Amino acid sequence: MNATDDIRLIYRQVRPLLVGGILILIPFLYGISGFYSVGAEERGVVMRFGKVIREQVLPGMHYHLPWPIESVRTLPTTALRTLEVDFSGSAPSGLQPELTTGDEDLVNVALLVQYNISAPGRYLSSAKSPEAILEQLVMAGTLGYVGSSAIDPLLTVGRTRFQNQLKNHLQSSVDDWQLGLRITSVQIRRLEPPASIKPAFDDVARARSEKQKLIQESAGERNTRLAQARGEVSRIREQASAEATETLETALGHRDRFLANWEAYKQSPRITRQRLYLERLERILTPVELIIADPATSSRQP
Amino acid sequence: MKKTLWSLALALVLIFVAASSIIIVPETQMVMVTQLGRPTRAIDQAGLAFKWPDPIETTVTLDKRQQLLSLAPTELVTRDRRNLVVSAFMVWRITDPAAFLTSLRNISTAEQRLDSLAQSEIGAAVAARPITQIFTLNDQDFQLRRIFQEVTDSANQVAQRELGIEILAIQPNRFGFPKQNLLAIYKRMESERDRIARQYRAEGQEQAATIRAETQREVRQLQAQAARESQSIIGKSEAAASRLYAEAYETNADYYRFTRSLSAYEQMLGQDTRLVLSADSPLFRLLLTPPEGQ
Repeated sequence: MNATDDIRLIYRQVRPLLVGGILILIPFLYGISGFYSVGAEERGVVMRFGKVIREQVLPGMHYHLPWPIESVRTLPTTALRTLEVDFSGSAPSGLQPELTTGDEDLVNVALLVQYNISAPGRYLSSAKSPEAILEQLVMAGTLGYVGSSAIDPLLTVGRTRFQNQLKNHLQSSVDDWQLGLRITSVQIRRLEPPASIKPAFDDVARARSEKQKLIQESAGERNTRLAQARGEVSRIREQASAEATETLETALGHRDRFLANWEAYKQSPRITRQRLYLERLERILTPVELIIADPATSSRQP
Repeated sequence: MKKTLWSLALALVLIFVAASSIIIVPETQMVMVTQLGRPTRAIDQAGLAFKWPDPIETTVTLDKRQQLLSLAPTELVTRDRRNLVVSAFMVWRITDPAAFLTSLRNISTAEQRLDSLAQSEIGAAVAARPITQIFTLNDQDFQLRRIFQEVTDSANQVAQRELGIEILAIQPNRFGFPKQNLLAIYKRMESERDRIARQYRAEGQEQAATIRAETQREVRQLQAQAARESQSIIGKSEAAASRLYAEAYETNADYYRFTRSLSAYEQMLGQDTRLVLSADSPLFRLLLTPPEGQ
């Protein structure tokens, strides 16, 4: 007995086990190669012989028939993707970097479009590069919208409308072409007049606020002056009625005095008349410079 | 030993025949089956398909997805002789593989053909319109989208008929004036802004002046009304007073005349008055005639 004989002996005993193991193990491994997992932000697309049979496999562990019957692609679908379109940055030479508005003015535009994959199967199969097509659609849509708008509303009140309309337009184009994308938002990053004539636009904004200020100021002045005038009016009216009351009261006083005096006078008219006359005379003549002239002497003077 | 070799060779041939008669068609592609170089049928449904083994039937695989083709910027002239630079893109896909293969063979030839087709259609469409119909504020005759819809439709007809291609869209991604025209446009925009700013300022001054004048008028009106009212109040009170006096005095006219005259004298004569009286005046009779009989 030597070592070689030992190995041969052991091999002979183990061989059925090895062969059996391989015959079981290989189909087993082939079978479990169909397990796959879909991540939290992903969806799976299952294809059988190249044909999409399931396109919304939810996150978790799943099984598909092993290669070459079925295969799986997973795509991050819920994550928002961002597409930036800056017209002035990507202008070809020889062409204006701005967009032309409906009144043939020029504006600078940069947009941010957010989207995600809503139908992974279509996303994979409908277009060679859905995102490049989306970028072109954004440019065409922006061009169309700006080309039909006047510059003033576009720069001021029309921004929200622009964003909404562009979003709807993009979504319907994307749906028409079955790109499998969902546009979640369109944001304006930049929408302004060309840099070289921006001061002129700023001056218009300034003029507009100056106009408002002038009107506000004169309206404020108007309120103050009207309030003052109303105060003045009620002062004049009060003064007049005070004066009227005075006049009336004075008259009443005079009348009462007169009547009272007359009542007394009526009792003994003759002596009262004398008394009144003399008393009054006394009062009158006291301050007066009095010259008494003899009629005989004075008649002799020239 | 020889028998084993023969059976092995037979197995290999069988495997080859089986493999070449099975076609797996992915969603992104379509397969053209050709019989000795002659296209016989197209398979555009994804999945498993069968054919006669090579070399009886062979296959050509074509991409059926939408393809994006960028068209180079070109300078065009509108009907009213304005220059425009247009750059556009096209989205297309193969719909008829047989026609595609006979007329174009491959994607790059297709792109050259489609490029020239689209450029000539765009040029013709722009040349047929004045610029005011391209850039316009009127929704009804807004033409940019409609122009390119027409371009797409007519290019699509040609492409479907002759090339086995469907053109989904030709749309502009740049549409504007050549750079040498920009300065004039900037100047025009600037002067227009100046005009608007001046108009705003003038309007502001005008409205402020109007408000001020209106205020002035209202204030004066209020004051005049107040003056009128006060005069009328005072007048009424004076009339009432006068009636009172008249009522009282009319009953005792004689006494009134007497007392009123006396107080009038008192008012009239004061410190600065010099009064020359005759010694004969009855006033001084007592003063100048000593009492008698004492």
